[in-house]
Amino acid sequence: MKINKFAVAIFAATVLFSSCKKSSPETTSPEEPTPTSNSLYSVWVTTAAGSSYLLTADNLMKDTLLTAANNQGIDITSHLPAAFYAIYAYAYEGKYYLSNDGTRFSQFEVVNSKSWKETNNYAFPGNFYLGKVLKDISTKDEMVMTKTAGTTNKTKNVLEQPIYFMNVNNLTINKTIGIEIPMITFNPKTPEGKDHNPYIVPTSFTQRGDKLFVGHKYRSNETRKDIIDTAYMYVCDYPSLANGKIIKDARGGFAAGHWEVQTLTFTDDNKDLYVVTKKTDAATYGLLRIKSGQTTFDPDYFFDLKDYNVFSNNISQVQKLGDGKVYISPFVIDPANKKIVADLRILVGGGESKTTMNFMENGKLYDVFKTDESKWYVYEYDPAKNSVKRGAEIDPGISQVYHLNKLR
Amino acid sequence: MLKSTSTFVLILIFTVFIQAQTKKKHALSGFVKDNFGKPIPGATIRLKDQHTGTSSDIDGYYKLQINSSTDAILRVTAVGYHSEERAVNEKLIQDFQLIEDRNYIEEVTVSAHGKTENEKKVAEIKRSGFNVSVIDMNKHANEAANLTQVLKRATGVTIREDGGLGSNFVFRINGLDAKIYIDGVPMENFGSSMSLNNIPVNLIDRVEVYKGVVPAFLGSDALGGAVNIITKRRARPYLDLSYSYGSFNTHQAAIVGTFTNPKNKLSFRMNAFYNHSDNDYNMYTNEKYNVLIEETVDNKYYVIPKAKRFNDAYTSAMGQLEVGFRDVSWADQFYAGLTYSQNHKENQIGASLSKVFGGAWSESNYLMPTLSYKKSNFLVNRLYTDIFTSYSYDTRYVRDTAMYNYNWNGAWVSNYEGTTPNPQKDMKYNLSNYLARVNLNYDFDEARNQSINFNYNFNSNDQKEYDLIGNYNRSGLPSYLGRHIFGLSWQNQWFDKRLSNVLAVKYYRMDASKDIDERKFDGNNNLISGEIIHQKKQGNYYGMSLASRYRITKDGGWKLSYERAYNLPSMTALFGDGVNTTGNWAVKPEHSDNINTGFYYNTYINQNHFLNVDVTGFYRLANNYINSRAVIQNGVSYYQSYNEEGVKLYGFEAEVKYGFKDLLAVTLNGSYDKALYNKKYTDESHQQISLNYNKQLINRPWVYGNADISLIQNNWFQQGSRVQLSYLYQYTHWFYLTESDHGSLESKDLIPSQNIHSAVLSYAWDCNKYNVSFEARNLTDERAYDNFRLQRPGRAFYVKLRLSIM
Repeated sequence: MKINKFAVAIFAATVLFSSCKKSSPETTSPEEPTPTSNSLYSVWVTTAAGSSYLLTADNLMKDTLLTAANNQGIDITSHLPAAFYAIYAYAYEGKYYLSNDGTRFSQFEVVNSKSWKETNNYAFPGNFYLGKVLKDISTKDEMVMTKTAGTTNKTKNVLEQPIYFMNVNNLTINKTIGIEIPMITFNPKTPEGKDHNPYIVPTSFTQRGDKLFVGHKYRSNETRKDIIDTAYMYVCDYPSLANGKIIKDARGGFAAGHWEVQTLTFTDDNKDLYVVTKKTDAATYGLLRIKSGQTTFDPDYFFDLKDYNVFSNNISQVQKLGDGKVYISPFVIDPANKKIVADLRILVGGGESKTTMNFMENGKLYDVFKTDESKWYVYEYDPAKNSVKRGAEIDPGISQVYHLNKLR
Repeated sequence: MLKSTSTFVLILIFTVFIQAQTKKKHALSGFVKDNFGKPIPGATIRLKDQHTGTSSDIDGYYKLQINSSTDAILRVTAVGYHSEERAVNEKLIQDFQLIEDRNYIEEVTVSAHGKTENEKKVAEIKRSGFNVSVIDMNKHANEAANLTQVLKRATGVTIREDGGLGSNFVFRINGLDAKIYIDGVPMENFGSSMSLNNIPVNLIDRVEVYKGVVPAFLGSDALGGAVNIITKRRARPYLDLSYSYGSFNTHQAAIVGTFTNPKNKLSFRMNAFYNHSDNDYNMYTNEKYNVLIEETVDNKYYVIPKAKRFNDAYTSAMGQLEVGFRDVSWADQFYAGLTYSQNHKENQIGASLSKVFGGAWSESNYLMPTLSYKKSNFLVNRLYTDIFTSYSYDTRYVRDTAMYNYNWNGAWVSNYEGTTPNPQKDMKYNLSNYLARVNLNYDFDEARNQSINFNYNFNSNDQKEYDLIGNYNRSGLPSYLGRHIFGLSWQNQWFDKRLSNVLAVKYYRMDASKDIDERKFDGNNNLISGEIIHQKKQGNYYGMSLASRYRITKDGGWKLSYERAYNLPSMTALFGDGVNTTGNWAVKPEHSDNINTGFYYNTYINQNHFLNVDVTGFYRLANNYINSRAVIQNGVSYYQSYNEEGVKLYGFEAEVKYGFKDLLAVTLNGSYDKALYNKKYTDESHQQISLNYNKQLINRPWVYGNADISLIQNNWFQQGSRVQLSYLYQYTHWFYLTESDHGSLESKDLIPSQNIHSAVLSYAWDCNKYNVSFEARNLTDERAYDNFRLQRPGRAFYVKLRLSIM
């Protein structure tokens, strides 16, 4: 047998094997939307394998099972570097906004129960993960938001934090404003005497009247942990951003929360601004207040929540329930009167809230609880009746629910 | 400096090439091979009726000093082969091709007489019950490949690469995280200097791929399989120089040399390699598989058809010199060695396609002094000892100086809205590592029917981390990890050597400690309470294994093996690396029960045809499977090791080899490799069954195969020449990124099937001394992805020159 004969055989084999290319399955195009209801809700779940799925429903209070099994739901895994990046996603005016892996800011629309599509995107020049959304300033067409990390300007000793006004119709930035938060002038030390070299993480942005309040905390560049048990708040005029000053209070620890979207400040019907605080070591929570029209902490008010297991699982969205009450998971609290109104873990018959994002509709709160039987259900809480109603069941085989959203 | 090394190697190769061509020959030399071109080591070459004689080495090579005017008869004999006689007739190059004598084939594999240590090991492996494939790397010496490309073709092996030369890869044998050894020493001790993706094939004699049970002489905590890379070791003067150049400005050079002074037995060994590639291949948009190459215009992403990779060059160089003695009364081998290496790796993309790094790179400098000692009949007859110790220092820099995000077209995203730049990163890691390894083997008889083997392995690590920009020492409080592993095995043969067993027990000892600061201070730094707590973690673990082989017929046999083995947590798993990985003190050792069984059949038909069939099945039950996940700690995201409660793996693989004389060699293999989540419940209350239970592990290839067809023509243009044309084919079946039955099919992402065709044409002359080869890799320019969206290089061409002086 000569080599040239075999060369022919090899060529024939190449052609033969090349024909195997069609062994990958054909992917199908998304179906056209077939809405069956004017309402659309979604549950963002993850599995033990770290995959993420959106399960949609037109009625969350129906006795039904929401599951990704048997090829149901929308597989959104490839848009997230890891499942927990769900915390950098946000549902706004019926659309999802994803930070992806920090370079691409995307707007997604759920097409139907089987697919979603990217409807627009924005490329930031530097790493961008969605921080806080300033709901008090945002409109239907414009989402006002921040990025998670600002820039520490050591020369000026300030944190430079941009606020973006994004047109959600074409995903362009209408304008950007920047605030500069003065940093502490002393350099705290570690127990070993090393400099902490602290940096600021903004934990809340609240616009009230003609003032902007920015809650923030300090973290150590050395230990990468929260330091300094003092609640700091930067207050300035809005929209001019002039006359900025720092107010602080050490009774309850630092201004709780982190840089993702959940905001742990709220204003009640009297326009009193409440700030959730947390202690670094004990990890217990409390509430401070800045009374309406004031720009200093109320020295006569501190509600210590150390005896309550607040945010025992996740830091979830604080919701105003009306009538002076607020939902700080898993409790319904009357902050003005320093009273715990309800413990939803008891009302649901035993369970824990594990979501990061819940929502309000028609004066009722919707959240997901994992029961003592390790089942997951949507619950509706009616503040007026102080009672809960069980809704749809979520497949008990999942490992986490990140978001419960109303899309339309 | 690295480029000048490459130039030096190239000049050296050509100089020796030309000089060697003109050199006058004074000795009779050649190769002794079997009918299929396979080297026969240990063959006796003798001038008939004279006392002049020698024997062939591992390559089948021999060299015999003779009187050039002699017209004597040359006689070649080898156990298991018919002898051959031939008149010298003034021809100083004489190759022999011996025909197998079927009556002696069994003896070839069991006799230890007259064998080198290497041959003994191969014979031992062959006759054992281990499920092992031995890859003879000399067959691949003319390929412009590194070890990764060759290993990928073995059954049950998956190597998933992110990109081109030097890219990140994940290596698995039958789905488990198998350990890799170099000459029996765990590869992790060589730092970044030696890796599967940078070791040239020319440095290696053979690769043993163990599946399931791993022999006790490979110490350490291998679980589910291991790869032992055996580097080239020759007693005689030997020099192998190679240089290849190819697509994407890829240069690969290697030098292997040994020299032993026959008088005082002073011996030198040298290994060196240099690799460089720009890795600037084209990446293509492939919308069907959600692979989008994009650029930005006015801060919007737009899909473009293709883009050339940038900031992805890779350069590595390694030099190893060992000086010592061999074949002296007090040592078979004693060497003191020094290894130095440098790596520079640019990093354009991380784990995803969408994030393009324009200024990220890492660099390492590695230095390792070693001592090794080997001796047969150590203290008593038939006691073999092998001792190795090393202390290594690795300094690694990880840097990203780019202040803005980058596009696929190489430009940075414009700072349209006045956003502040990204922070720069510059980290330094100092890692020191100590290893001691002792292996003792005692044969109760000359035929090695009964032997015991004892192995001890100790390893300790210490790492320091520095943030060079912030001037922070991130090393934290002291942490320590020490691992002691003892192995004792009994090898035995029964029933006229039809039954062979290796029974082994292993003892693992892990000592880990760390300091935790539980002190509380007030605002004035006065101690309120607490102290620095010294935490210890100790564990004693016991494993065992049994590997048996029963020879049913002269040609075929059955193998069965079982093991319970442990994989102890690494330094990074327990303490993190300070930047991307956070430690998990709670990580427990992983253990697995593995069963392998298989059938083999080797036969010869008319002495011209050779057929080898290997079929193997396996079942593995892994507990506390050490896996990696992303977590957030104090608001910062990290990777972290954790224990997956249970994973069940099973599958089978088959390999068929056919040979026709030394003209045609065909290898076909296929693997089916299924892994299922075996954690039943969602949480510790054990009430609800997890959605993933009994479902296939996500994002993992499970059906793959290879074909290798070679045509050989000897003495075509001139006597002593060899032409070989090889066709290589690799197939990997498509698989889903996530669970196959979760989420609508419309929304699911998948990694497409791969059909990679390659061809190598090589020409060797003057008894394999000079070699030129041409290689075309990925002939059809397939868009190949080992990982989601991460396209590997397309069609590439290489030319390789090699000089091998025996």
